[in-house]
Amino acid sequence: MDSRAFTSRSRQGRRIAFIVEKLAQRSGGAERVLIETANALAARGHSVEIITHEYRGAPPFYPLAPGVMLSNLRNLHRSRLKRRIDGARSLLERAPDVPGLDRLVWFSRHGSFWRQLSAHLQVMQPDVAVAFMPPAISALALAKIPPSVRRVASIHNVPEQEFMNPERWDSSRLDRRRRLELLSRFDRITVLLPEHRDWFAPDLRPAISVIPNAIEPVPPERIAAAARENVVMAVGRLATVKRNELLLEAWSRLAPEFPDWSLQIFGVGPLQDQLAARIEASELQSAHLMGHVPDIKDRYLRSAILAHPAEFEGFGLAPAEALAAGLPVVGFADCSGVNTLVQDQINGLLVPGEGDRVANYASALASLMRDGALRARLGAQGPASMSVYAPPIIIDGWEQIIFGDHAPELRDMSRQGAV
Amino acid sequence: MTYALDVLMPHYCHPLGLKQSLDSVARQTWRGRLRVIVVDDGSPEADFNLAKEHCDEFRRTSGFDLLLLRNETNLGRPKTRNRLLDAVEATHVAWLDAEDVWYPEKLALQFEHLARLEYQGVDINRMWVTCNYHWRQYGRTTRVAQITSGDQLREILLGAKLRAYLWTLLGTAESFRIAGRFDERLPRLQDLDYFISFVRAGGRLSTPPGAGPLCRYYKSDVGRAASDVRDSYKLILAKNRPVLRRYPPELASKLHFKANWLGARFARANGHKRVAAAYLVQAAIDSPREAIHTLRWIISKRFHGGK
Repeated sequence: MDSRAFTSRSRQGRRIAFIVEKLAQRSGGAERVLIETANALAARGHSVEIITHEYRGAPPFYPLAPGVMLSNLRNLHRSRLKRRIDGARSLLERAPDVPGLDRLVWFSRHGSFWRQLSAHLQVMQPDVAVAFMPPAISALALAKIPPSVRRVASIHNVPEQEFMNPERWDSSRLDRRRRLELLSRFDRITVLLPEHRDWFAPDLRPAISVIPNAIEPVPPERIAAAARENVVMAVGRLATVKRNELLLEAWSRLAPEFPDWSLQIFGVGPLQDQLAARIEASELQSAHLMGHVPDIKDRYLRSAILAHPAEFEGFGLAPAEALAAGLPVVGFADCSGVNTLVQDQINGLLVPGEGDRVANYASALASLMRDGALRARLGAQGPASMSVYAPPIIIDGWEQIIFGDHAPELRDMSRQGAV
Repeated sequence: MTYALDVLMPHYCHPLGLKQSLDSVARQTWRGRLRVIVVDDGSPEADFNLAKEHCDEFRRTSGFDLLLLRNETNLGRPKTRNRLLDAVEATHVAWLDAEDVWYPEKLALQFEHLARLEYQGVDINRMWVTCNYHWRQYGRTTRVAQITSGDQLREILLGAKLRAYLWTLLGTAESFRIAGRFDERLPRLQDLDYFISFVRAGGRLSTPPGAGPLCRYYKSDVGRAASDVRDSYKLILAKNRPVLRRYPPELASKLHFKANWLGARFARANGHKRVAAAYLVQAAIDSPREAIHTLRWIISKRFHGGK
């Protein structure tokens, strides 16, 4: 008889719950990272459930791999009574942000999420629960769950923006205060960059680990065979923070000098109409809004430059993917989440934020557009600079964070392997 | 040696049933590289020794390999099944419970169907091939069809057209990864939970077209604690509450009724009439609509033969 040792639960086959408030048809970077991480952990043999709390019943924008379950805690069937209560609550939630009333408003906005999350996690009893972004982080912090369940908060933007900006998430002062206070209830906290950890209070720092986003390497033969056109591309949500207006302004100065070049802006967002009107008003025939495309990774191989003039990034997925595809990136030196990835004159250009930003940016773009040899030199360094973010390395890091006995020291991970 | 198929068999205190099942594996017309893995769940020494003899005989006479493992103590069915999953090395997996029987063509027809699906471009790592079967209970044998068309999750939950029985299945080892591991909190109905997890996580079931019953299930309600059955069913419903909400509320009501109804059935089979009555009362309280519907059906059946 075989007497091999029997372990009732190996490291594989652990139960992981990812929690995010909204996922239906959301094409943001954090949603993509969540799904890619969930898919990769499922492929390693873990049981993965993604828990949401939203009224939209649509599927996620990014595909779920086999083995990942999706559970929406919201009851999509609203009885007449519940619809009336919802109406009264929406009136209450418009009440002024004053002490006393703010607690009631906060409970109306967020109470359902954490109560339902409590009930669900008590039944499911995962080994670990990982909350992505502040609404889910607060809900998980408040949820009454067995102490055996490890709580992980995963922060996917610049902490100051996530925790202090009144225009992001719930605008009430109470919520901003709670968001930060509740972090102390977590066993682990993940941030994207080493400098993000330094923003938090010293008592939280021991629980914080740096885990950047995973970037899929592009095979060298595909990069070598890339037929690049005279295209400057920009990728991201059409929102103020991405500074597409600035890019169009810079382009309007460059277009007369570079008639055989075009600007392609990929993505959708609230500024779409405004940007379209801007292009039309300036008669910028070489600038195009491309919307969402399914083959964005192929577009990196057909373009010559990635323009990324964003104000700030948690971890710039588009610049990272462009660098992995051998595309030089032009960003601002004061843009966090881009200045970690782009090294000036090595794999791209970092434009100074001082002085006239538009003029500086246009000048940097022009220098690259004029100089094919410079583009080739910078582009050649991109893939190696992104190798440290290869998915197996990042998923190993996730496994360490969510199952390991100690928070791993990944402090310098994002700088390892830099060229 | 790389096996093409691992047949996973949990065993506890039923060596004759194990022999019956092993004999049915030995008679399979499919003669690929097959290995049976038996995990004995801490049976008493006498039962284990007998089971070991049957395993040895299977190795000698069938031409197939067999790996016999043993839990030092009785850990229960879900842990034993997880141990079986841990032992898988083959590219394909099938399950068989001690006493149940495969008909000789079962594996051949299921492998043929899997190959057909692959040829059609279906991702077979998301597929389980199930089959029609014979149900043997109270001295009667009934033919049961597994109907895989329509909303498979709903049909598995209802358990009328599509039932969750592991011993009907054949799939790639990768396809079984989709369902994860068996929930060790469930003393009963692990099959149901496992099937639900599989379908919810992107898996699909398929039946070989035109094939008759390919196995025989020996069903018994005796000796199984009614509370285990009912509580397991309730836990499964609680785990899947978010997905139940996608359906009209009548479905959840029906399933909660069924949990108590099942508990009553097992209690009655074990002679616990008061417990059975208590579950029926609970069923009526939990789901009055379903209780009235069932009562009407019983009366109709009694007086009009169910027509």
